[in-house]
Amino acid sequence: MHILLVEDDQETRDYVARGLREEGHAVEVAVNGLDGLHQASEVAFDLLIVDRMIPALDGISMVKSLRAAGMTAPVLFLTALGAVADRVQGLEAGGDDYLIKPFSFAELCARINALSRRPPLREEVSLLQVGDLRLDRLSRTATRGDTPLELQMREFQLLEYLMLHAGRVVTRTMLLEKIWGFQFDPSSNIVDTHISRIRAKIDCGDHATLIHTVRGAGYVLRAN
Amino acid sequence: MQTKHLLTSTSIRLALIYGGLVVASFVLAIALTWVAARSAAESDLRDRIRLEVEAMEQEVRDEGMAAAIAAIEVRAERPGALEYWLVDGSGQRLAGDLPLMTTPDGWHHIDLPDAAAGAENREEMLVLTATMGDGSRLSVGDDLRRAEAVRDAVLRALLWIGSATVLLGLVVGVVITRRALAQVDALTETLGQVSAGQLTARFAPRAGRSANDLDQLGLSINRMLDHIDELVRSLRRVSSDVAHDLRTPLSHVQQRLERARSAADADERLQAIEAAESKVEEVLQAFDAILRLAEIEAGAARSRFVRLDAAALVERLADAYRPDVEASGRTLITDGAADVWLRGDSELLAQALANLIENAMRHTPTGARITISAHSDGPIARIAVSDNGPGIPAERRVDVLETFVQLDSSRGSPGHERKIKSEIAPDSGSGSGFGLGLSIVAAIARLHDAALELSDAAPGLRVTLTFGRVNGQATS
Repeated sequence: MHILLVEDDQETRDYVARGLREEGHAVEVAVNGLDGLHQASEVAFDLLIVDRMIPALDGISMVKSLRAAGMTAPVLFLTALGAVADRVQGLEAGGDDYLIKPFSFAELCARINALSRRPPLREEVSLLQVGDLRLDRLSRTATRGDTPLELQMREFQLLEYLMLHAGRVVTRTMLLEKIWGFQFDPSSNIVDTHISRIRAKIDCGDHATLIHTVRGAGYVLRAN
Repeated sequence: MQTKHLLTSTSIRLALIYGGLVVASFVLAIALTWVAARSAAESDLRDRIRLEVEAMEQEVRDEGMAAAIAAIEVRAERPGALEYWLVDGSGQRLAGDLPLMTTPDGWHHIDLPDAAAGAENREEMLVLTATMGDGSRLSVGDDLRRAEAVRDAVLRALLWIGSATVLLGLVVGVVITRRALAQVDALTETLGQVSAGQLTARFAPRAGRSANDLDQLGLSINRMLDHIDELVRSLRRVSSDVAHDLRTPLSHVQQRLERARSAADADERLQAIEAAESKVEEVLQAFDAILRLAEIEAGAARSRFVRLDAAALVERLADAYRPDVEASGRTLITDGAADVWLRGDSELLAQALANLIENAMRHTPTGARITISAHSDGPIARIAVSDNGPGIPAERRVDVLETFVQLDSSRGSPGHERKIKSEIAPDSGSGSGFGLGLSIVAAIARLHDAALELSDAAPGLRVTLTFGRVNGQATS
């Protein structure tokens, strides 16, 4: 992906840019809001990663201007401001996601993948399939091979989310936000326990493991 | 007291400007009255003179010249009479003593030296001259200033009244200004104390009177100071929390990194680094908790309050936590009615419940049962988290509640603090930070004006949040 990173802190900028390049992305950097505005106006990026507190023009205003000018690329805000009000402000300004510093690089990658529009999310598809795992979104049933799976409502939602993002890392915070609507980080590993329950159900018998744990990041549903 | 002087001079200047305006408008009123009175007096005199001339013409026509002359002689003798001058066609005096040469017909203003008062005091005569049917000419006139005497009396009266009014106004103004100034001074003094760092100083409204504007201003300032005071306290608390709660785990991080550096082999190094990472995670959680606490205490979330169903909230939390609780060998059940409505922020209430559930998991043995419930009782809604663990003895509950509500106050004495915390959060190392989780519950309760109570679940501990009380005892 062609990514513009707008970040004034050199250490974060270098760290994130290097990591993203190693992941195979083409990364351009801007050190302040005005530079970011100019670069994003001249080149059509696939994704913008924007720090909220940057010199010259703050991230919120920059994204507002770009959105007003018709830019449609997804925007991921980075910020040290974690209050709910700040988050809401960021999303209202046209941001698509919001990541609070400090963040792990794995979390950032997972969010970037979730935001990328290639391939598009198959939101409208009613039948999801990964390997021999099938999930019917209309009848709300799931099967592994020929075995029907007994899933509770929440487990179904979790699995559906993982399958919609199959092949991409989904982090614990993403699941907490999307499945339970929690904006805070509970100290218990409630996501892990839910995942292990689902895992126990779908990886039953001699089927290959589909839900993989990604150390330090989250989970990925993938048929090898 | 320099401020007082400045304030005083400002008020005096205002009083003077106001007084000046009053005087100016009074002078204008007097001038208008004077002009009006003058023209009124003159027009009265004109009427009188014209009538007199017409009466004399009538006399000459009806009774003849001789009768008219006699009539003039009689009229001129009356007190306050007009003055007359009647001449025949050749200009010979027939009657009257208006000392003037015959004037043409019509109205005239004529200045005459007053014979009695000397050359400086001239009379200003208003004269009407008319030619009779037989060619004789009659002039009738009077001294205008005689009419003006009335006007002067009116003016004098007006001046007296005016002076009295202005004087009275000034006296009343000074008294009122002084009283207001006393209040302004009190406000200034209060604000001065606050500026000098005494944040608890407050304006005292005048006792035993209904509050005026300045009292209202003072009370508003008091409310503002209360809020600022609260914010400053919260800020101080955050700073000291940060220092207290982050220093310890940060030093642990440092120790583990040092161990990693001096590790004998790669495995040990990796272990030490992982340990350091988990400590960093703790630091971040504590940091989040502190910031969250400050955010809650700032009260901004109140503007996002909506009507929400506590029963649904309880179900959502139970649903999220049940696998975790069950994996730990405990059970989590919900109990309560459907549709328990209250006003609040669902995100924060979810966090409060999550913290309480986690706390219950930490302090109950394996096999324990944790119950979350929501009930309503008229306008009152109750959310409770209870367990059947060891509970807290009645005499300790107050202390524990204290740590819930005012963690910062116990922070002054580390021994005491650790003792209480070890009871309520023995493994403070895990989780949302060192008992901060419970402070967050208390802050969220305070934000919602909900009462936070610890009670005996017989056996076990029950923590209840009661919403919707209208009286003042709801917060602690």
